[in-house]
Amino acid sequence: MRSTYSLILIIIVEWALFMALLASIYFLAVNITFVEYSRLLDQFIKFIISIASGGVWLYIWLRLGHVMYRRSRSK
Amino acid sequence: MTWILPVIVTISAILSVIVTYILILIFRKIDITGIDIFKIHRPRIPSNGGLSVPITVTIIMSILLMQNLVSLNFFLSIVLSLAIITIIGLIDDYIDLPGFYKPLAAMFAGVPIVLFAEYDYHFKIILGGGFSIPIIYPLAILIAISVTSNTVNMLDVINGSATWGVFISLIAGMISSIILSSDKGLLLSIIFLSSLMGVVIFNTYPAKVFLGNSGSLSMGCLLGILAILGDIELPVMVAMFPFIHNSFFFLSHAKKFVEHKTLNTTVTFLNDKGLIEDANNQTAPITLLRFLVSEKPKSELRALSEMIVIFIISSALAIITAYLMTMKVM
Repeated sequence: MRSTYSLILIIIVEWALFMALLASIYFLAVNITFVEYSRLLDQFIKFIISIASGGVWLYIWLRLGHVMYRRSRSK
Repeated sequence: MTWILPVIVTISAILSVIVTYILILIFRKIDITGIDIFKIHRPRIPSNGGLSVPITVTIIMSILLMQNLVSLNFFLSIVLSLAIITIIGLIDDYIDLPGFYKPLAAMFAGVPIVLFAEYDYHFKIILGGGFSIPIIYPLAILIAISVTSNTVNMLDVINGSATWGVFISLIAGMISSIILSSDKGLLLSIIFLSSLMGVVIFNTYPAKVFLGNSGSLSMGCLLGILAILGDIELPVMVAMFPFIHNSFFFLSHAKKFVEHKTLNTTVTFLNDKGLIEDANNQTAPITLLRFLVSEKPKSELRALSEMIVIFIISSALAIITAYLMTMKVM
């Protein structure tokens, strides 16, 4: 069951990060203004930050998967 | 509406079992079969039994339409989406097509949902937050239907893996619909769950029938339809994490849309003892099945059981997500 526990751990960690990410993106969109004079530019910056955050989230998923797979094999 | 739900469930479940059984007899007779590669004797099993799912859903939706329990637009968006994805799957079952075909073609299955506009473009997130995205949402529907369909199709690797994954995710969808007071979500999840009864019985290890691309794609499409029309996108997405994990690791390795068979690499294989073993191939993607058998070779039944445990955990997280969505902080 070690590999199963590893997969469950990955899914729980990624879920927690996903929930935190969604809440952060919403907080960013509603409560923070980067550019006062242009709403379009402000939203574009927020969009880029959101996409980058999503990319980091997926990268963590990928790295975590590879690390846990190696640990599962080596024991 | 409440009195009719038990009737729908009963009719749909019985119908699903009967249709699946008839399909098994037909496909065995006309020799439309596939090899069960994770059995020592490699038996030939009737294929395309998953067709019972879109057939049953269409019949049940027709009954509901005739009883004026659903609108014509609601009926058409579901039935046409399923029809399109089933045809795409059938074409892929019989003709060798390039890897990008399925993801691209599956987007067309989302077109009826966009056209008949039975969706809410407000994307709800946790703690009472949400985004109104009227322009992006229709485009997201096309992508979502393609993703849910193909990601289920990619995990149809051992007897019952895709079937149980979708079944458990639908249960999570049903409970989430109750938590979020989504009548449409509840109705759809009940119909879809009971329509899956035939494949749950006949596709679970040891399988009497394979789903076929048409079956697995249409079952994935059901999850997409439930998420969008039931307005429970986030819980369904979380319930599908094991599917997403499998597809993500496959695609990040392949770096493009390719079929498993065109990868030219062995991911897992059946050893002399009849156990599924990791091929330990550096050039192979770390799929969900490969991850599960990485610690030691396992029987197909054990691998299926462990996949079910993982789906139960992700579905529990989906239900927690639905609960978090009801909390108002923001």
